[in-house]
This record gives sequence, structure tokens and C-alpha cells, in this order.
Amino acid sequence: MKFIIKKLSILIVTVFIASIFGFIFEHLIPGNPAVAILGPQATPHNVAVLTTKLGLNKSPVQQYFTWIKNFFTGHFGYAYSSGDSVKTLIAQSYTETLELIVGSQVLAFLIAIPISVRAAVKPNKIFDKFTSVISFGFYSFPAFVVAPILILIFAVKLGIVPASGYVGPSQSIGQNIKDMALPCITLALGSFAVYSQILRSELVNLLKEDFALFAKSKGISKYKIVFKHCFRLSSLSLVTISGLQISTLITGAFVIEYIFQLPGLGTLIINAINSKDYLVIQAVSVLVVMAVATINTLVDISYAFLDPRIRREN
Amino acid sequence: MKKTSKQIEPNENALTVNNLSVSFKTERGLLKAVDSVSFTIPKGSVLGIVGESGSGKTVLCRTLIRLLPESNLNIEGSIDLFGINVTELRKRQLRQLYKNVASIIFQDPLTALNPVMKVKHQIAESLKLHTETSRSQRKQEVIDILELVGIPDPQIKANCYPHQLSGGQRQRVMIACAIASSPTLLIADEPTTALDTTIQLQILQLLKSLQKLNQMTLILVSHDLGVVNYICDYVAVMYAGKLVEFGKTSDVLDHPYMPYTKALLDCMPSLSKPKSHKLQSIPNSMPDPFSLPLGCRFAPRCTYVQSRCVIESPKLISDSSEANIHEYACFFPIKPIVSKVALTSQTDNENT
Ligand SMILES: Nc1ncnc2c1ncn2[C@@H]1O[C@H](COP(=O)(O)OP(=O)(O)O)[C@@H](O)[C@H]1O
Ligand code: SF4
Ligand SMILES: [Mg+2]
Repeated sequence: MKFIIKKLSILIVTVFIASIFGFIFEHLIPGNPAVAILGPQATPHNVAVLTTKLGLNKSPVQQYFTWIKNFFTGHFGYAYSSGDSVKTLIAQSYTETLELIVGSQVLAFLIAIPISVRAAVKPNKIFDKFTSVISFGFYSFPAFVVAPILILIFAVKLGIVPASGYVGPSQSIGQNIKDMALPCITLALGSFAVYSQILRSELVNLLKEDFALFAKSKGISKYKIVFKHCFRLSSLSLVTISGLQISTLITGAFVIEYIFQLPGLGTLIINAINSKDYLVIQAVSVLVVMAVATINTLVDISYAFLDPRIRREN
Repeated sequence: MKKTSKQIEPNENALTVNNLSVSFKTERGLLKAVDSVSFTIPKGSVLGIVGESGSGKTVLCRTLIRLLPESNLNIEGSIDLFGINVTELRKRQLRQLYKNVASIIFQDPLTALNPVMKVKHQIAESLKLHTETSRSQRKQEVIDILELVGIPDPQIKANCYPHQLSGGQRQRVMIACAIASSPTLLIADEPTTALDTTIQLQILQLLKSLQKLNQMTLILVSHDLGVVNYICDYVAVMYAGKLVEFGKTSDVLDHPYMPYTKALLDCMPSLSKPKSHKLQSIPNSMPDPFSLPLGCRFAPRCTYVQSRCVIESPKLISDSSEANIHEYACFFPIKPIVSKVALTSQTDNENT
């Protein structure tokens, strides 16, 4: 419990720092923030109203609290270029990014687990060496190299899936899966490489430990030793890695969205950067920082459930 | 199981090891951890294996049930365990051997038990493999076994993780895991080394009583000759991978022939004769397994050494003068009759 409180307080501090960063960022925007928020179409009257509403004539501390209140109630302001509310823009694009990240991670784990178990049970045999080379290859090729190759093969040559575009799952699940297949695979390959190599070496080491040998002396088969004895312990490092990977993953997802022209948060922020739409940049980046911090906190807390030894220490 | 169970025949001997050698392929070359070891023990007896750290006790024990990973291993010779030819067993038959015939206890229960698995599951695992029972029955069996090995509040402790138990309790849990399959052979590799002295005795008494109760054959590795004297019927003394002395505990410990055994005894203040000088440990250390002496491996440290010992390697020979088997590998054994020879040889050595 103390452990969880400690982790949660770290999260709160991180969120606080992120909010300060967001607040300062907004005030670094050239010109009157009210104008920046309302966009070029704003009438002087509206600017004056918003200036008072934002409390721009109040002290910075008061302004910060107003900002916090607005941010956490979803009032991120309006996009400079289109005049749309930033909240609406984010609401329209976050599901797609989430789908890409979750889908790719599920895919990566589904491939990595059986492969690394097989490799670890017979280490340094052909299967192990072959899969090591393959995953190292996937790891070394960046998404912007892999994506065009996949598009060329599966979209252009075979025509199984579209090269770009996105249909939401609510419209057509089948089409949605087709649209998301290549982006998910592209993003999954890098994660697969990391997960399978970590899990493989973790399992190889665990199988050398006394408790695995003792389990063997009970007459348990090697696969059963892996699944019943080693998996829970190796999941600790796997969870750590996926936590550490999350920011890399988000960056990767943004790049892939752009390549496949998926209307996700990545495309949103890249377009915003191009059109200097500061409020969009600010809202998306602060939200991403907070999401990463939250995920890492959840990872830390999940430790306590995976490892009973940590539960006791705290 | 069909194959292995058919191989079990009524036989007076529990274990016959013949010319057993175990080598590891290492980066520095071949490491022969066990070298041409042969011995036989009857059913239901307790064998103690003694020797300094690194003499090959663990490798020998684990090889007896083929527990070592065999990718870098070379096993020669034969192991006959209750009529089962252990060296010839295939993987599946080996698992049957573990499930029904042989169990092992390691030195450190903290590393041998799974840290993230509840005690009851670790014991049930052995039970489940051995017998086919219902869930509730198995639950009760786990509690019974915990009670048998002397765990207080077995209902509560069954739900604990290993780190929540004391060192002695953890070792009892490991013993529970090992005996859950009702083995006919139990190997205990230094089961008390990681424990406090007060708890050591309790664990040994537990092992001894379980051995009697289940009529198990017990192999106990220890570097404590007092322990061996206390519960073992037979003693095997190992030095640098070789079996250097073997026989009934009383014979070997009361009248050691091999100077190494005597030196080990001299390190034990409680057991050594009052007149013998009390050493804390034998001076110098065991030879590097990669550059073993040509002759007797103990020669560099032996106070009875003669020139023959340096060029020729002594074979394990039996003392024919006695009804009991008492074997030793030494050219100049310490016997009452030859003790004079031994003494002169010592002065010879000082001159050269
Ligand atoms: N897996 C292994 N690979 C290489 N050498 C080993 C291995 N296990 C043990 N040895 C070597 O075998 C020798 C005997 O070790 P061991 O049986 O553990 O000794 P003891 O149990 O008597 O202390 C030592 O020299 C040790 O270094
Ligand atoms: S053979 Fe020689 S060196 Fe070896 S133990 Fe006997 S007396 Fe000592
Ligand atoms: Mg040992």
C-alpha cells in the first residue's frame, strides 16, 4: 500500500511538472494568448472577453490555476488553422493511435512469446539462432524503411490491404482491420524484436537457476517449467521493458501514422507543427507526457502483483 | 513408466556405480569433475559423501539421477539404480524416474524454491505427478506432508511464499517437495550448510526419521564428518573428482587408511583423537582440475608422501583382511601394521 502511494505521488509530481511545462509553453506563444486561442477570425470583443476569462490580467499563479482547471476539464482552446476546438480534434484522432499501439503490442507479444519459449528451451540450436538473426534484423530496420516495403508487397503487388487511409471500427470492422494491419505490423516488428530477445535471454537464465533444476528433479517437463515456473518471473522484466518502451512506441506510432496517412494524434501533431498550431501541439504533448507517466506508474504497481517479494517489502 | 518399472527387480543393492566419469566441456578444455568412481550401497542404507568444496560431490550426486544439463557434459561408465540403467534412460523415462524413484534436496532452499510460487503449489506439483487424486484430497495431502516435515500451522504456511518462511522452514518445505513423491532414493546435497547450527541438527534428525519411516535409501553430502558419523551407514570420501576411500562409517572414521580422510578427521576437534594435532583445515588447497598431479592427487598436500606417489596414481583397492568392504586409494595407507613404514617414509621425504 505504501508502495502504491509512493508511486502515485511520483505520478502526481510528474503530471504537475508536465502541466507547468504546458502552461509556460502557452505563454511563450508569440502574441496575445487570447488571439492564439481564438484564431485569426476572432473579433476584438471576443478577444477582450477571453482575456478576462483567461485572467490574463491576473497574477501568474492565479493564471496557472485557471489553466489547470481548463486543461483538466478539456478546454484546450481552438486550433489556429481550422478554428475547430482542440478537444474535438483530439477526440477524433486518439482512438486511431490507441488502436495502433494496443494492436501492435498485442501482435508483438503474440509472436514473441511462443518464439522465445521455443528458443529458450533449446538454446543455441538452429531455431534459436535463426530467430535471433531475424529479430535483430527487424530491430535494425526503422519503420520508414519497413513500411514502404510492406506497402509495396501487400498493398501494391498483392492488393490485399489498402496502402493508406482509415475507416473507424464503428463503420466497418473488417475494413478497419485491413486498414490497420500494415501499420500495426510495422510497429509490432520493432517491439517483437525487443520482447523476444529479452524474454529469450531471461528464460535461458531462469532455466539455469536452482529452482528450475529442482522443478526438473520433480519430473516436470521443460515447457511446463517455463510456463509454470519461469514465466511469472520473466514477466517482470518484460513489463519493465514495455514500460520503458512506451515513449519510443508513441514516437514510432506517430511516424507510422504519417507514413500510412492515418488520421491519428501523430498526424494531428505533425500537421500542427507544420501550421504552427501551438495550442494543438501543447495539448497533445502534455497529454502524451501524462499518458506515459500514468502507464509507467501502472507498470510499477503491477510489479507488486507479479512479485510477492515486493509486496512484502512495502 | 512401463519400461522403467519393468526394469525394477528385487535386488539387494540400491545403487551400483561402475567406473563413472563426468566431464564438462569448458572454454579451458575438458574438466573431469568425477573420475572413474565405483561403489555399491545396499537398499535402505545411508551413504555419506564427504570431501572439500570442489571435489565433485554435487556433480556426482546430480549425475546419479542425470539432473545436470547435458549439452556440455560427457558421462562415462554405468549407474544401476534399483536395477534401472540410469545412463541409458531417455528423457521421458528420466522424468518417470524423478516422479517415482528418486528425489533430491539442494543446499540452499532460498534459491531452489520458486520465489513467486506458493508453498502448497510447489509441493502439490510433486504430488500431482506421482498420484492421481482429487483436488481436495491433494490439498489435504499437502497439509499432511507439511505436518510430517514438522512445519507448524501447516494450513497457514501452505499459503505462504518461500520468503515468508524461516530458513529452517524453507528447508523443511524442500524436503516436503522431495518426499511428496515417496521416493526410494533421496539425495540430500549439503541440506544443512545454509542453516544455523541449532537448526542443522533438527533437519538431520528429520531426514533420518523420514529415511527410516519410508525405508528410503539416503545419500547425504556433507563436509561435516560429525554429521556423517551421526547418521550414515557408509562413507565415500572424494578428493579432486576421485573416490579415495569407501566403507562402513565405523570402519572409515575409526580407522581411516587414506591420509586425506585422516586429515579431514583431524580438522574435526570433536572426533579426532586427543593426541592428534588440531588443524582448522588441511594446509594448501586442492589442485586445479585443469592441471592435476600425475600421480596421487593428494600428494602435494600429503604428509605421508613418497616418491612412488608422485609418479603413479593409486587405484581404489579393497582391504581383503576384513569381512566388510573397506576400500582406499593409497600406496601407503595408515594401518596399524604399516604405521612404522609410514613414519619412515615421512622422514625419507624430508631428506629428499
Ligand atoms: N556446470 C559446470 N561446468 C563446468 N564445471 C563445473 C560445472 N559444475 C561443476 N563444475 C566443476 O566441477 C568440480 C566439482 O564441483 P562440485 O561437484 O560442485 O564440487 P563439490 O560439490 O564437491 O563442492 C569443480 O571444479 C567445479 O568447478
Ligand atoms: S598415495 Fe601417497 S600421496 Fe597419496 S595419499 Fe597415499 S601416501 Fe599420500
Ligand atoms: Mg556441492
